Amino acid sequence: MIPSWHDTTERLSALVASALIPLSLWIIFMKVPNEQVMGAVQRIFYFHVGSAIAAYAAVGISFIAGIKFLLFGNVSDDAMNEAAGEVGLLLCTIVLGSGMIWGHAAWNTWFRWEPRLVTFLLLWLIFVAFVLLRAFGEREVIGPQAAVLSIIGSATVPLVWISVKLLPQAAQLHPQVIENQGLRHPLFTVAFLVSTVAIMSFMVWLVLARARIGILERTLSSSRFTN
Amino acid sequence: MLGNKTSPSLTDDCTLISLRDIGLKRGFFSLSQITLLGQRAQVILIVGHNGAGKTTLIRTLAGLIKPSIGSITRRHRGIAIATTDALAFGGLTVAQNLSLFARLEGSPIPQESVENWGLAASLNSKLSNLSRGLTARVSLLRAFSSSAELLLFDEPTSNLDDAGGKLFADSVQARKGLGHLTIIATHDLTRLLPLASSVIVLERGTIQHHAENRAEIDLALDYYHYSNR
Amino acid sequence: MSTSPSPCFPPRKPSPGRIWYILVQKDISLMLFSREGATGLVTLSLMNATILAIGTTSAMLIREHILRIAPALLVASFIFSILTFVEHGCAVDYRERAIDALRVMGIPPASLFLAKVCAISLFIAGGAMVSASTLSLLLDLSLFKVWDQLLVCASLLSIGFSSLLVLLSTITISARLQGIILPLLAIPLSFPLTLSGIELTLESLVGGGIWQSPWLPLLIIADVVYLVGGINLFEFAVKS
Repeated sequence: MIPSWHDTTERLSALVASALIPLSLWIIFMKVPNEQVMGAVQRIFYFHVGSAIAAYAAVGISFIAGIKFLLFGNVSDDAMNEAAGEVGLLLCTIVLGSGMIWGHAAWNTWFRWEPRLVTFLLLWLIFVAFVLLRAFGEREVIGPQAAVLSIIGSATVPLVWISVKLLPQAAQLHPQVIENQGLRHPLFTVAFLVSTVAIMSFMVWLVLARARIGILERTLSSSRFTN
Repeated sequence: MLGNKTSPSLTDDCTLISLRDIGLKRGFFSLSQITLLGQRAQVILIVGHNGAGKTTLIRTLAGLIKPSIGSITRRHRGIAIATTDALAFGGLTVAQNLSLFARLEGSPIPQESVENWGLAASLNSKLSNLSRGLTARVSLLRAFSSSAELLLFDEPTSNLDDAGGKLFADSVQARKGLGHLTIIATHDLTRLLPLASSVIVLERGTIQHHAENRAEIDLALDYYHYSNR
Repeated sequence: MSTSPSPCFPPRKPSPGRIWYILVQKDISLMLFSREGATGLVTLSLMNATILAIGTTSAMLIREHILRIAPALLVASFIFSILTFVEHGCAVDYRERAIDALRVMGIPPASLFLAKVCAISLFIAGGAMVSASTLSLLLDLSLFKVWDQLLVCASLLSIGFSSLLVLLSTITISARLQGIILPLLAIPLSFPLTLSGIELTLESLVGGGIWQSPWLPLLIIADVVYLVGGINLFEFAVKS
């Protein structure tokens, strides 16, 4: 059934997200000044990077839930694995979409064969395959299969990251904002931190809410024969 | 009184496999509150209409399906199984299949056994090119050549002719003599009922009757035939 | 007449190494003698390499540019040739539920996985050589001059791809739309292997050789990750 920490964390993340999302929108659109080079378009950065960090966190949740499900067989872990995959797909879509909009403004092209974009494109494909497998697999056996896929997929992400880092420096077109200490104005940093925490808490809320539905579905399905 | 039997009439040393309150759900197929004790030198028949859960129970006994609830305790050495699938490699010849399983088992199959089962002429034929009857014979020979103490069969005689059916019954009798446990899911009561130590009637995934003596078996089968109309 | 084993002592089961060897022989026999197996792999390798060579030639590129894109052509030909072969190589165990007989006999899933990977690696390495030879002849690439480096690349790529694809095939075998889901899973997950294969082949053709390249340790690490992951996870994929 639903673990006790699940309820508490879900309520807490809902509260934090409800408070921080409007706050971050206000900061991003009302307080933060325009960036020197890119102008207003640069504000996509706050949604883009926060979503990317949250997407990586969803990968981590999927990985841990997958291992726990294979080891202990709890339906709550299977539901969490499923939820993290679906929310991860949503976040990757946001990252790719916002990245393409930003890229079009910066490079006048929707997609460049550039390491970080390629990494997220591959991550998006892995999430799509994961969701398709869940949709078209045999319902009663899909849990272990999806868990295996999420473990292998998660193990691949760092390998992809290293692969694209080994590509020649000329190919590294993506702005290295944080590494190059690009957040010079204090409001930029505040907006970045608030938006990142807002998106992370929203991700946690979505995952837990979706997992709750998954647990209830599985409990209902199994109760039909245990009486 | 007919019903679930939970206390063995023999000592626990004779119990080779024990299922307690097994339950699972796999799509359309499910089992519920299955409690069963299988002992040495027993032949247990599992009967039931289509969709009763016979195949699911056989696969659970084989360890191919893990139950959601309940426990299985095993004291037998090895498992041999034959079902309506060949459980062999269609792309290999009969000889290659038998040789493969014999080598994995660690014991060669005597040529006499191959001849007894009428497979001498088909040794060089690919399994996928054989008829259902011959494929069934290959599968049964593979199972009976194992030294496993637990033998599981799912509709073993459905594709066999009279000679094959008799050979199957004789082989089961021989394994009973060795003290092995055989569990057979079947509709072929005519041939196999004389061998049975007990009969289980399954209905909608639950054991309706578990009969261990002649009188109980007759009553259980009356129920089975009546509910099957 | 009846069939029964000797009533005396139970037979001595073979050692894990011997079981692995028997299973490798089984897999090699299955792939060698089936129409969709080795023959299909060689044919697809030839066809894919030929089509890519035709496309490259019609682009009227200078030799130096052809040498630079040749690694990508080689790896692309390799990947599209092996997907069907590996899918078939795994499906044979499930057609007549032979895998159930092996599981019931107590054969460890790790042995099943390793045997399958070894057998498939041999075949797809051969397929890679067919693609390489075809492209070398059609595009005048002189790949034979660096055959030792290519052999190392092909071997490492084969191990990585077979480990990954055997696991993914087993996962998707019961899914509807397996034909779509397997490539959809395989292509992004094999990206580290694909990129390493391309870069190492490029290094061998126009660079300083593969031995000093940072892509070689990455490829080896990827192989280890997929092999170890497969050994530990195959049991769960098969049981389901």
